[in-house]
Amino acid sequence: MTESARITGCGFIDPTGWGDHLVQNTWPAGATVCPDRLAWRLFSESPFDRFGRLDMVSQYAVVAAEMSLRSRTDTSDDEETAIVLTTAGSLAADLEFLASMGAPGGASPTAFSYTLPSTAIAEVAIRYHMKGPSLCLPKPPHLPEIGLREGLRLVCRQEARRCLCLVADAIPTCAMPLLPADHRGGLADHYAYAFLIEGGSPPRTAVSTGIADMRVEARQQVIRAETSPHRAGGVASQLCRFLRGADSHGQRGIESFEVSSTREVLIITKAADTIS
Amino acid sequence: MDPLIEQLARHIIQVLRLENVVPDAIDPVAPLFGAGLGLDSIDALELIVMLEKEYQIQITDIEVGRKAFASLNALAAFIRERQRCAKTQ
Amino acid sequence: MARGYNIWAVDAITALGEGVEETWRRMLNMECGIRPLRRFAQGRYQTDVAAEIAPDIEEAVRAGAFVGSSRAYALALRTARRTLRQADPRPGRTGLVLATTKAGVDELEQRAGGAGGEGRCHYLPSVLASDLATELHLDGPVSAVSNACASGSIAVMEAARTLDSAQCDHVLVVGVDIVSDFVLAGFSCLKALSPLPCRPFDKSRNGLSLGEGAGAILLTKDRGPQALAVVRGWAATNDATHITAPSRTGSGLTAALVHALNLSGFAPGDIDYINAHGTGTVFNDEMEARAIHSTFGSDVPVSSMKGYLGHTLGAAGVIEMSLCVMALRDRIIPASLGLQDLGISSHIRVAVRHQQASRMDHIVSIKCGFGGMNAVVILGGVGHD
Repeated sequence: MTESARITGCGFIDPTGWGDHLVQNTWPAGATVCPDRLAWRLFSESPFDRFGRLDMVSQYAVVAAEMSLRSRTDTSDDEETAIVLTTAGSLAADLEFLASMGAPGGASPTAFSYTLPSTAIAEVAIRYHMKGPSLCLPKPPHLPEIGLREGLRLVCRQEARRCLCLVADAIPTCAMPLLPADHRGGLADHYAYAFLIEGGSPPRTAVSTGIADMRVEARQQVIRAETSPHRAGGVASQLCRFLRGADSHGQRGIESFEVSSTREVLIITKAADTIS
Repeated sequence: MDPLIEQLARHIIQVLRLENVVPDAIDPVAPLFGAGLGLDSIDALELIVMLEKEYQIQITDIEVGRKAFASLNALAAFIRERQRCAKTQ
Repeated sequence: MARGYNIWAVDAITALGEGVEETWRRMLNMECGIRPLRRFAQGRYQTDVAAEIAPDIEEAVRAGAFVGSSRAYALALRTARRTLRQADPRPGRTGLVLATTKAGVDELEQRAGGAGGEGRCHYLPSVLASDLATELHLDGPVSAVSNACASGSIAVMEAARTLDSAQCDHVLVVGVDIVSDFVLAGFSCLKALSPLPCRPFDKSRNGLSLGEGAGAILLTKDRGPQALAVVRGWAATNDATHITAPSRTGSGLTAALVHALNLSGFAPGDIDYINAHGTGTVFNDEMEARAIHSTFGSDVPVSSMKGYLGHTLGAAGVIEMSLCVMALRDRIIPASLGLQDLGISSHIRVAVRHQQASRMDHIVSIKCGFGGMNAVVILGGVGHD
């Protein structure tokens, strides 16, 4: 079975700022470190009264989702889903809950509700009415997978028509000593990237041509999965830059981007400027 | 504003991390749950923890909680009643 | 969708014993694994009971893993080894999918509490999975699924998808979760625990009972005599309504049940038993009954296994599926322990006694989780194509 799909949305929030495949906003006053609590009004005019209740990683995931979805024109809830890959998952909320266990009045129900790494994807599903098969896949940071392969499988199997593929982490300083040594350091401790992919059938509307096309190919020979000292965000941030039209060196003209794993490579190419 | 009502409003805003809400903006007679502030079942449980921490009042029966949290006024009255009972024991 | 994925081997370690056969035997004996807390303080939480691993098995489990390892790792390793021994030799590559909600949370409690030092970090599911795969010399892709209490079922789906993409020849699905102060405190502050052993679907039900354990299922594409059962299809949905509470209407679970049947080519009348999620909370059981009735009417027998084993969280999907393999083999519909009087508004047929089934070809397994997760897997007996 040929597995292919289109990327129709891209959103991000990381130390460089936030935005989508067209626009990048930088942090106020040129700050280079992501804050550990976000203010929704910085990202969107649509109301989100309870954004403050979300734990850090859920906030990051929802912001990236918001960025990736804001330019879409049609909605469909029961065929749409979201998946997230995360390294530290709910570790920050776990520590907050542990601290609350000994506090006067007792443990915090709110904190406990976020002590599952899947709560971040639940928040995305609730806000954007995504009723398809959600997935939360904890993963080590040094592997290049960023959720696209898993999302591609879902849409190609027709378990969902669209899939928002996220990779997200929000790791406070106090949690760092609790990560394995090879998980510490790297590009960023607070980030989220979201890529909206759509199944290979023709687009429903004339305008949803997509930003890029994606297909998977088997590698001719088995090679070791490419590892990087950077966090998972590294590959995702490079893909975002590619989709914005610049490679990591800021040069244009590169037409394809590869995400490699042991036996396969995901090949992403810019969409031609045609309308179906 | 009644000092207890204002204090409760501040606690609710802080504990439930309500954004863009100031104490004055919470109508003391309006329902806290359902419409309005949009509080849900997790918020109700969090307020039970707050009551114990800040006022040393325990709620073990969820129905008692439902009545106490009907509004800010109801909550203030509930607290005053419990504190009064505690003093007379 | 492909024709099916063979279950080559299964294992489980639960409060009722070590091994699927032992657990199943004691279930048929109507034994309840939910007992007074042994490793945790009484009077501290909303309940004083849970389904903990028995002391003699605990000792054997610990002996098999390195000193100081998380109980979750030790349990997962033991059940994985027991499963792989049943499927040896095994040509080709074997991958791993781990299903868990809190993994080695006991290690996190110790380290966050100031024990300090370096540890294995098995509270991170990906690290636990990676270490398991290394210890077991598994050479296929390794991943972890953490989808709340639906993790086990969703891990089976991920394993099947991995087999389809020809990444490896077999996938070992391991589900594990442990009882801990963290989880006892958490469900207590949500007021979700029953003070006494849970009573799924009963009118007096008032919460769930926590359980712990590990289960493993070896999934393979090979057709052949060694299959114990076959995964015939599945579907998963999200209610998209609340981060902990299930949808009151059950529409998300209904959609998952209908999709699973449609995508697999089955009609509701083809299903012989429904292994419910059935946690014993007022809302889950009511919602689930509604969804079952919407899809199947009142004809298909239903039961929950949580009255025997407690709620094993991320491991439930794997442990209970391994017991469904026993149900298929013996053609027995297990009783729903704890049920005396039905207390749900939808009319479904919950078994109060074990029943010998005249037909036992297909089982539907339902697992739901925080965050609106609904997971449905359809299992078939062997020889039924």
